[in-house]
Amino acid sequence: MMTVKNLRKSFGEGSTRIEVLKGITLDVVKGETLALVGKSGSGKSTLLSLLAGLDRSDHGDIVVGEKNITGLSEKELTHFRAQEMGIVFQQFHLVSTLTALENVLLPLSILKRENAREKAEALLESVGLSHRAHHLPSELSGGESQRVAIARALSTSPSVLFADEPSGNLDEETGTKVMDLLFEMVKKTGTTMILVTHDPDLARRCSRTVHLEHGSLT
Amino acid sequence: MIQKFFFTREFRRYPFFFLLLGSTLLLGTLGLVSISIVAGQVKTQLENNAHNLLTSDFVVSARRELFPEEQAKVSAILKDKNTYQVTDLYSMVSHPVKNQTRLVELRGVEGAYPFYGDITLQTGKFSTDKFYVSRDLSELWNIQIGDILQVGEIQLPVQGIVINDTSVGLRGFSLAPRAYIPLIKLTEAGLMKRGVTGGFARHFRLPGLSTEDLKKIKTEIYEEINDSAVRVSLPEDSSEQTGRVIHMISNFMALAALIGLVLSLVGIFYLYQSHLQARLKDLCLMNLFGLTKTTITSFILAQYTLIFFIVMILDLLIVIPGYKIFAPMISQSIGLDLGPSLDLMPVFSNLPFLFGLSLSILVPLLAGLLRTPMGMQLKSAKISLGRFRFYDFIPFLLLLWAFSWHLADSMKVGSLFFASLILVFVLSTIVVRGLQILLRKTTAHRGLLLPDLPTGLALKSLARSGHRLTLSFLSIALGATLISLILQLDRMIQNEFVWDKNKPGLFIFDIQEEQIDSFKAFALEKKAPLDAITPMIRARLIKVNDEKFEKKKSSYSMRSKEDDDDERVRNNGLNLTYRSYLTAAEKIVEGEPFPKEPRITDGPVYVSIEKRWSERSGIVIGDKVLFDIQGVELEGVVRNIREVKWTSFYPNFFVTLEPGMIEGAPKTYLAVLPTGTREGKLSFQREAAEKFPNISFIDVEELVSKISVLFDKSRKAIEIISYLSLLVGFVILYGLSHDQVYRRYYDIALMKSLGIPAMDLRRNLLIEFGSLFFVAMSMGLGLGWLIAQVLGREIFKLGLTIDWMRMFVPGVFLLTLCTLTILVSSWRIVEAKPRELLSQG
Amino acid sequence: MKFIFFFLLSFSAFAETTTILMLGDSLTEGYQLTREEAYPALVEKKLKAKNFDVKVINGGSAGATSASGLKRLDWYLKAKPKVMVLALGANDGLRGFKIPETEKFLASTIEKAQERGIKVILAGMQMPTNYGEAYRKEFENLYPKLSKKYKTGLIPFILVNVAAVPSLNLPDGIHPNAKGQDMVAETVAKSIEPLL
Repeated sequence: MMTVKNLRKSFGEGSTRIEVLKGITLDVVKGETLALVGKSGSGKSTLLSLLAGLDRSDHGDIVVGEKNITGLSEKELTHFRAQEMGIVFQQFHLVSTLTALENVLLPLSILKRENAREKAEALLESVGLSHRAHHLPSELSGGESQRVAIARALSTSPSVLFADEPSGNLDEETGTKVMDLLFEMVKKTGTTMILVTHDPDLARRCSRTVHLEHGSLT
Repeated sequence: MIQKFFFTREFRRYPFFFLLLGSTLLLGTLGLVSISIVAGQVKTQLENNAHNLLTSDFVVSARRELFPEEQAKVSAILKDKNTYQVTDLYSMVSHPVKNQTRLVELRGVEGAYPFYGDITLQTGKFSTDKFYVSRDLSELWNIQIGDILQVGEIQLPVQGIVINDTSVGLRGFSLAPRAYIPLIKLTEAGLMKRGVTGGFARHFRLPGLSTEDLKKIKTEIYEEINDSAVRVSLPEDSSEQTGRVIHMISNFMALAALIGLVLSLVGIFYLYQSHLQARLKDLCLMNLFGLTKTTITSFILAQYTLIFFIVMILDLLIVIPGYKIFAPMISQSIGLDLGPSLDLMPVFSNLPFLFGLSLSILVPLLAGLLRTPMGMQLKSAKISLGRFRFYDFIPFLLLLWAFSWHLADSMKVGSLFFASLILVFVLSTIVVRGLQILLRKTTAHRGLLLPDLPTGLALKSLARSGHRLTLSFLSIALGATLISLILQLDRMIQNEFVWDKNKPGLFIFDIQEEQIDSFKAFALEKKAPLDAITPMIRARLIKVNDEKFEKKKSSYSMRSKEDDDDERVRNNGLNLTYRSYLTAAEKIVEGEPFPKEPRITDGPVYVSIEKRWSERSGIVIGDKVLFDIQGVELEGVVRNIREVKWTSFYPNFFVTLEPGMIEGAPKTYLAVLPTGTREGKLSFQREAAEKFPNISFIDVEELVSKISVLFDKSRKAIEIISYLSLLVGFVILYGLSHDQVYRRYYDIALMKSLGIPAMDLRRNLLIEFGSLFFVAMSMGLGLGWLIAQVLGREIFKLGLTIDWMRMFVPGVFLLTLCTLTILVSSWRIVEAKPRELLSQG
Repeated sequence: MKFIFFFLLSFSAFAETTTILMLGDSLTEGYQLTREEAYPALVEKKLKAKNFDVKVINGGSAGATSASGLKRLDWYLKAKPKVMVLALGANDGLRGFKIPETEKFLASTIEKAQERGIKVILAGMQMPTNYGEAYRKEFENLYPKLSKKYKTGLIPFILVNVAAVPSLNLPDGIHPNAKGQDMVAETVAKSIEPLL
């Protein structure tokens, strides 16, 4: 459901110019879990940010579903992101002034979906945090925060879920639990997921793996 | 190595921060430093001025010659060191050639008169063994040097014309023009025989004695000489009018400067907080490498101290040459010559306070730093500065109180100002907490669309922001309070300097009833714009509410500066007038105005009394009063109380009656001739005196103009100071707004990544910060007004004023400024790509 | 004998209270003192003590000059005074007015009073010595001159024994204190008695 053609991205100017992505081409099939593996500096986060519409490429196309998102305006891109994409960050990134429930509710409210509250409550339930619904992120542990983030990411039933090293900031035990939950939710909802990780074990759990090295797929 | 890190690398790595810090500190302290210097100079000059007015350090005087025993006692106490006698007499002086005689005020002088001050002649230098006439007299009679005048039994040639005498200052205007005569000549002229009435003063020069010492000697003399007719004057007694104005100005200036400083310290607090937060990771690292928190803290203090002293030097570098340039202008403003030489003592006396105060604002932050569990911080993703507690602010508050006290030279002013700031603090906390509780209750469990997403997000953010919000709110409220305070005070002080329709040049009185029409006609013919033609009726107040008002005097003292006010009000006849209108200097503060049309009634006549007179006499609204008006008793009732501006030069009355009731009583008329040309005034006076010999004229032009200039320029000075402090305030608030937005950087990026459109994000920010600013600012502006009323009343003795424009306009301006700042700052953020959210992998 | 006695008695029984007007300035007003301490009230007291049936009107107005005399006399006419003590002119002198002017005003006041059948007593004033001999003399002579011309009563100097005596004056050196006013009242009462 996603097609990427010859994606290039550079940073910096003049003598400090670095080409981070040197022409990435790949396809993502609906419902699959794709692992993006690479060492630090390989460009995987950059690739993820481009695919998620968080940044713009210098060259190349990204087609999601029917839409070529490289041609969209900022406004359209934002809207598209809201509708079709879910993101789970490494650093949890919950809105600090909203409760767990409200954080999950947020994407639904953005799109003004019906029965938003029920959906949010259900999702929070499914990640096992109903009892923490009215707590602020400052009151949640790392693992709990990440679980809320997962619920949030899936609340709009996005066509694709992007996950950027989601267990990176968690200790091993919590991390495993969170990843289990993530894979479970994704499988249950049949959501396409692109997972960035440096951990080969996590990669193995995905249906496919691509390797990124110095900005190119190997 | 660490030291190097802090001192050099730091400045290089964060040049913008340190520059901003330095500039804010500079702005805040500049006001105080310049005002210290100017105020210091003003004080010195005032003291000089006071001495000039008195011409000496110490004067023993009476309306009669001192008895030999009295003289002996004075000599014994003061040991006659450096002394001279000054005798002022009225006398009829003639110009034999022109065959004219008129009343002249003779000032008999001797020896080193004057010890202080200057008497400027048209040509030549003043000497106490020559005979001079004032410019007024010379013009009235067209006197040339060498003309002979008959004084008493002798004839004297005029040896010079006096054009300025610093001892005349702002005190009196006299019935007659002046002439200066050697003291012995007065006796020669036979004017000192038994039965002489005048002012007899023995002056002393007592260098090296402090005011305290002089006051002690004064007490001693009063104890030795029982007769209350003999009084002692010190320089501080002499410059009343100027003193009051200048005292008011320096108090205001001190306050304004302090406000500027506090505002800048608020800004610095904010700046430093952001800075420390941003640096926290580095600091935690250093702590990890073995640098203790105490060491880190002391390094930060050392940095700050360095900056402070650089700023101080800059201040001086700006102010000292600035003074040289602006001193003449300021001298003009205040009506005192400030002098070219600078006394830096006041700056050094304020320095410890400035330093302490500036430093103490960091205490809460550094305390927070010390409380930060640095070791732990590195593990978690978000590092935050330790919380500061309320008591961390105590050093700052104490120093602020002490400084207010020191600056204002009075505990009352200092404490009031300080209390006001505490009030803002306390109220802000209460309001924020209250509003937050309210918001939390109303927004909980209700989803995010309240009614739409931006508003919902904004409200929830406000409800849950905790301490951070309190701080922002407090800063804004404080800024708004101080700005409003200055503006209101400024307006109140300016209102005091009322501008009479015209400035009087001549006071004219004793115009008889039967003359008034012909006098008016005469003035019309001479094209003299007579003004304020007011009837005056002499009366006595005999009863108040059926009780006797007059009291036998227990003593006839001329000694206390404020004689018993009560007795001063009683036992004196009253000069009444009747009118239904209010002059420009009057305002009714209590009660009802008189009816416009004269009433016809058998009941008591309406009476209006002046506020201070009411306080002194104890007579209030509704009181029944009984007048004896030229033998006829008239009953009145107090209908209203007026406030009369003390700065008005026009004749004003303590007690006025409604028209229509006492027109028939015998009266004389007053009138004022506004200033015009000098020749016009002189010729009018000459001709009027000829035609209406019983009418008296007093020339007040010089006096009035001196005071007017003083008031005029004072107003301007006050305005300038206000605007300077305002500037600081605006700058701070701008910085605050900007900072507010940047703090939300990550939140905004996150929300953008979640798909909230840019427009909604902007709305979110606007609603959130807009409401914060609006509430804080409204509260601040209102509080500032309230505090201005209290301070104005207690310190400057001003009446209640409300200037809506000065609350509204700054409010609107500030809000617009902040809104624009939010929009502009958020623009960049909102448009930015949210890629920063992702780990740098 | 008895008849004449009754006649005299009844005559005195029909006699009215004599109203005396004291037209003056701050001295008469009793500047800084209560009404009761000013000499007009004291004169009334003293005369009443001698069984004279009098009522004294205090027509003193601080700062008044001789020019005000005429209009003010008008005002008091309705009280139907029989005797008037005219104590004006001091302020004229203190302000250095020309003596002939003062004379004119005093004269017209006297004339008006006499037209109405009021008996006038002129209270003489003096200027302090510092005003110069010439002026002082002229001023001092004004009162006897007027008194002679209009055949009025004359108090040569109303402040006799009071002026320039520190213990009898206020600290300003010009106005008598309560004790001083009492002495003035003595002087004035003595001059009125013969007329009653």
